[in-house]
Amino acid sequence: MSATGTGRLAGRVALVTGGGRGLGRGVARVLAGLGASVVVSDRFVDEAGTAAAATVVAEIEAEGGRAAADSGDIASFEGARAVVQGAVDAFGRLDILVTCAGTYAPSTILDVEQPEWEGLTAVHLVGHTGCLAAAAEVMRAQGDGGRIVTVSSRGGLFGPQTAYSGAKAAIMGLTTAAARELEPDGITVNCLLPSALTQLFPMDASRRRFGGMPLSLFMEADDIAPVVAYLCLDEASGVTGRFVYASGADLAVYEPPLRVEGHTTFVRRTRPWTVDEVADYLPSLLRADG
Amino acid sequence: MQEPAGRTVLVAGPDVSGAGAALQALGSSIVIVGPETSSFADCDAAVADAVAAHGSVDVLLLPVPPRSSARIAQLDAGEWRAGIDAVTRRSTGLLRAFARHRVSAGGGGHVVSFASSAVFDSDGVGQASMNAAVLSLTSGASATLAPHGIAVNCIVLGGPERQGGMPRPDTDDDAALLALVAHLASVEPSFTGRYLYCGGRDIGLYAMPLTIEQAHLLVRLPEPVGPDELGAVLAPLAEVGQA
Repeated sequence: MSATGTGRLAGRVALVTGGGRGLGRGVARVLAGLGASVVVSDRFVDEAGTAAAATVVAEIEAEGGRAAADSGDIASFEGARAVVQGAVDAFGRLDILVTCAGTYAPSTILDVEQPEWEGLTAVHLVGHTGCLAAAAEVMRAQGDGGRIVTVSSRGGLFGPQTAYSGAKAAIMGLTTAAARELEPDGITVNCLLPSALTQLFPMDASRRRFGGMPLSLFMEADDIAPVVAYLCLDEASGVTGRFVYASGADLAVYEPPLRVEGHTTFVRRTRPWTVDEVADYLPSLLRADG
Repeated sequence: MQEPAGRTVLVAGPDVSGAGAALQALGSSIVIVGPETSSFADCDAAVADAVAAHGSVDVLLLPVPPRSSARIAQLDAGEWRAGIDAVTRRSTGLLRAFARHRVSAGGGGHVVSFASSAVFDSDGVGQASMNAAVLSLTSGASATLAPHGIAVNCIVLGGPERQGGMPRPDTDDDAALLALVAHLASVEPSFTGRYLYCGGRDIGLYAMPLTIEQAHLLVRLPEPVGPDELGAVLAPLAEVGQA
């Protein structure tokens, strides 16, 4: 089988982990609607025995799209590699990876236990790192670029949920490093920071207000999918290593954390500056020396 | 500020730039726990042993994430996992054990974590993930532990070259780092959850990440709207930067 079809992503093959429900489901459907052949990876099976991935595949196919279901476990490097290889086997190549698979636990530093920490780290951080590593090898070998969208959370650097927040922050670091490494190959890596009502996060918008972000007007998971899809288009070839917040109709692009260029930075020295000292110091803050 | 004399400091070795030794010179007792202390159970035992020997543990210095240039393509999964266990899991386990001890002792205490200014300016995926996780641990734990009077702050270490846009340090003298560690080991508990830069003799306070300040605000209306609908869209924007 090979990727065919029409639309802005015609001929492209996408793998969406956690694609059976919530944000991932919306992303899979929008990418398919743009012409991509989509591998929907999800392990969830409901009480009636219906696999979430198969349901989404059926939805895509009913709308004229091309999709295949996968139930592999991305929570190990071996499993992640198998899921990526499964996508290549299904449609012949891999152009887009969106890593929505996740889980959640609210434990703080006082009550977190190691099994919970291991589980969250496996699904989120190992899942992301393993999928990115395998996908990067495939995309590099293909030689014509690629698109990767990781899924983190503002809670990564704000949240007290020790295991969940730690893994989500680590994904942000992973995104930056992978974006730098893969940019010469035409592979973009961007990080989505979503806020939506999903099975994992049923709390309403009023409980998500931090970091100066205003109340969201809409919280539908499907509203976020177009943002992800944009990052997967040819037009977004110059967008990489960015942190994009999306919630309903709200968008924000965060500057990379702990970077000083482009920001107001106040410097106090314990004695007056000399000209040479200013010349040595200030260009870095101004980004004037490359 | 609390005087360092008479306090016990648990150092997740190796001792960064002799920070533990510097606190020892100020009169603290030092307990160094090695990298074999990796599981949560190991960390619980390490803190319990230190409490048994010294009566309490008052300060915790977390491990420094190692430098690594491991790339995402051709990643060595075993090496990557070992790094996560040695730094991220160990830091979480030690901080959990310390926090439980301090809360049961009535609160108070200081935690200093360490990250690299290359955290979002690095090709090394393991290094970037480990350092970012330290930032998260610092922020999250500081929020949880603030009601207990426990301060948790992070020193973001500059490298010999420019990292994260910071100017290149003009010295590798670590006196400023040691002074900063000593300061944060004694700081008022209201000073918590902060990221402080230290490179040579350059000391800095970072703005909090992912926080909107002084934003320009734009709205695109897909269709004509009336004043009530416009108000519903605009009113929340007055809260930007305030939440």
